[in-house]
Amino acid sequence: MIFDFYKKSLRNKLLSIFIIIGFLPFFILLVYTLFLSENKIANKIIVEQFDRTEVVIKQIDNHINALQKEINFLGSLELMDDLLADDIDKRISRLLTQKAEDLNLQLTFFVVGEDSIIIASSDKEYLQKTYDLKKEKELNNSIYIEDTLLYICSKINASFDATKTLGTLVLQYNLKNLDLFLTHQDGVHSYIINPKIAFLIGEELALDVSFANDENSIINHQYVVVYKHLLSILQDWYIVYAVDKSVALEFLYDFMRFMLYISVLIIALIIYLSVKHSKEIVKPIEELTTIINDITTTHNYSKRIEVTSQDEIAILTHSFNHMLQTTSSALNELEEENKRRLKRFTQLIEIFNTIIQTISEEECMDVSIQEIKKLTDKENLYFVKDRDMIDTTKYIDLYVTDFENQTKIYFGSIELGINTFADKNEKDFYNSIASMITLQLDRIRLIQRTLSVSNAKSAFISNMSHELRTPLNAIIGFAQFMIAYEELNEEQQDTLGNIESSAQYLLSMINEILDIAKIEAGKMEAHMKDIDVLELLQETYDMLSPLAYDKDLKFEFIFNNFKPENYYTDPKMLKQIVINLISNAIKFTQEGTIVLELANDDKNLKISIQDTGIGIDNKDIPQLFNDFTQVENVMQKKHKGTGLGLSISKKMAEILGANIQIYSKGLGCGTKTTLLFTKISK
Amino acid sequence: MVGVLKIIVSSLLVSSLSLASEYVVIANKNMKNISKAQIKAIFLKKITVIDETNVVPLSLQARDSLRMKFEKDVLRMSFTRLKTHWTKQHYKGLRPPISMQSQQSILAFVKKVEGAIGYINADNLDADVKVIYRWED
Repeated sequence: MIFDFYKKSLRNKLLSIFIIIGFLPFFILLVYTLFLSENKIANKIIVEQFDRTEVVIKQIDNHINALQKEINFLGSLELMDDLLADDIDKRISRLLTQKAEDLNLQLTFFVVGEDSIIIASSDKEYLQKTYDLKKEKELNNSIYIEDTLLYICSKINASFDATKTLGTLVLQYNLKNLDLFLTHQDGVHSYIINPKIAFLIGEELALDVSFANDENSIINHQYVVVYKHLLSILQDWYIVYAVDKSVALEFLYDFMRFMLYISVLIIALIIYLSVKHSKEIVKPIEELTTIINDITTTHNYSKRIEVTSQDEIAILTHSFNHMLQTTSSALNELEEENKRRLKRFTQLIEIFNTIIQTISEEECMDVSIQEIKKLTDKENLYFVKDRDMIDTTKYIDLYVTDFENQTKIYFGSIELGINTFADKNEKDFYNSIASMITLQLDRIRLIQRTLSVSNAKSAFISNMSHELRTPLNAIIGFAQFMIAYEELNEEQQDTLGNIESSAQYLLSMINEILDIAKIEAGKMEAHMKDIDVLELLQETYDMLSPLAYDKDLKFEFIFNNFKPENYYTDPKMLKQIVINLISNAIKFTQEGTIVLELANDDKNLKISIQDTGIGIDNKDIPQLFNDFTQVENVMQKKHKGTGLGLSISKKMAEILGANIQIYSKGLGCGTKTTLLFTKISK
Repeated sequence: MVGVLKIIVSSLLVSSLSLASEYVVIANKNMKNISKAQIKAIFLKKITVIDETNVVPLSLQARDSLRMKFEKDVLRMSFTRLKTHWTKQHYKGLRPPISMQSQQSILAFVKKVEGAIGYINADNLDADVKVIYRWED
């Protein structure tokens, strides 16, 4: 969780690093002062105290030496000759008293005569008492210690005879005097001790010191203690210095306290600065991120990031701007390239379109070459019939289909005027053009072939019809002539009538075939003029009414929804279409009603014929308009006809720009046929 | 009043006694007899040994009247001459005689130290010392 916190945020990382860097030295210093300085200071104190004891020891030594010298001096005084007079004049005692007073210490001078009796003394109490100098003799030393008293002795010789001993001058020195040399101040305690006799001079402390060495230092929870033995006569004595830790380390503890207070402040400062600076450092990155997000969502690559600093982030920003620029220009290039490709693509389609428009092979090739030249900006493009003529440059071969043998035959080559293709795409490009040209060539060839076949057929039918019509006219003419001939009996007349009607039917059939042929040959032309449709329909209705009447059919003409208006169309063709449709309705209706309805509105003109006849299956409707087709199941003898009627009607309607639609609810349900002119000109 | 009178009387007594004062030069009992000239020589430290014994002349304090009398009557030298003498002798390593505070100390000293020689008022004389020379004012 915390790891993620660091991992995901550069700022938090920076923050923690700042804090660690800022705090670590401080922390180390704190730990150092806490754990090491105490020892260092203690050691320093020990050294200092050793120095101090050294000085004190020297002082004490000097003091005792000075005393010794003093004694020796006093002993050598001429005045001491008074001993011979038993110091009657108290001159020696006075001198000694004076000396003792001058020294102002707890000490007593006295002179012991040869008979061990104290002759003179600074203390009157001592006079006439005996003092045995056996200790001095024992030790053979002029200085010795008895209990807590230091004795310094000096032999007194007669001034006039150095060999004559008058007695001994003794200084009885109370060792408590050494307290003078000890330090008594707050926090520093000192005393002199003789551990052997457990005698102590100075301030007693509850210290457990073993005095195993000549000098040593001890640090316990309360004191820093040093001790050192004294010199010469006081060798059994130790001077002890003890420093209160609380006093000695007071400065350290004060410093620590100060550091702790300061550390709180500094940590606060570090955190404040870290937060502030990490924010500042990360701010450009965040801005960068915001702008990048903005760019990725809006796809606005023209945006640039403002550079405000000169650091690494500025370099990053510059690089990013540069990248943006590169991306932007690359995108623009892509877009332009895309446009160019699209343009080229549309050009290609235009070329195909243009090529498709061509109707002859020569035109196709000319147009193709021109268009390719336009497209590729090449001048040296040529179409050659014979590939052998090409030797240097690349070319593409064109093969066309031989429809009769279903094989490909060589048509020619397009010389490209280049030595190598730049890439595969270029080759594919030319190949696709080539196959397009080939397709168009095939198409032209196929159309030409089909057209020539169709024309031959039409011409054949046309010619045939003419050839058939001539004898038929003769047959009809002669048959009509024969019917009018009076000498024929009824049977003969019937036969002639059959001949004549059959011939008539044959003629009408031939006429219809001729019409079809005409239409297919494109020779049927509309002769447009302004006509009154209602009048035209009325004529038609009148003309066909007898047929309906013959079959006992009800024939109605409704034009309620017709607004009288003139339309621009071919009256003959329109009339023929309507006649065909009504004839069909009558033909396929045995009983019931046939309704002819004329209606129009702003745009459309609608002529519909509704019958109650045999009807037609919906699936058969599309076949109705094919040439020579009657729907199979209605192919009965009584329905005579070529099957060309609807086909012709439809083609004529198309010529007039109309459309014929047939609706039926099924077999036996009647049929509705509608002739619909849309957007007919009025 | 009585005290004052006592002092006056006693001072009169002393003066009357001093008028007829006798002084002696004394030496340790073991000292042989010596002449006045020898005494002078000893006190001027011209003689230091007599009969293989170091002689120890003892004098009184510089301002003592007896010492002045002794110097005038026995040594017959003025204070200035003595001073000159001892100044010269100082360079030879010789010092003036040991000076004692009182005639009692001289007496005690002389009794104890062989070869010691001093001068006291005859009134203070006792049997343990040998009188070498006597003189009067």
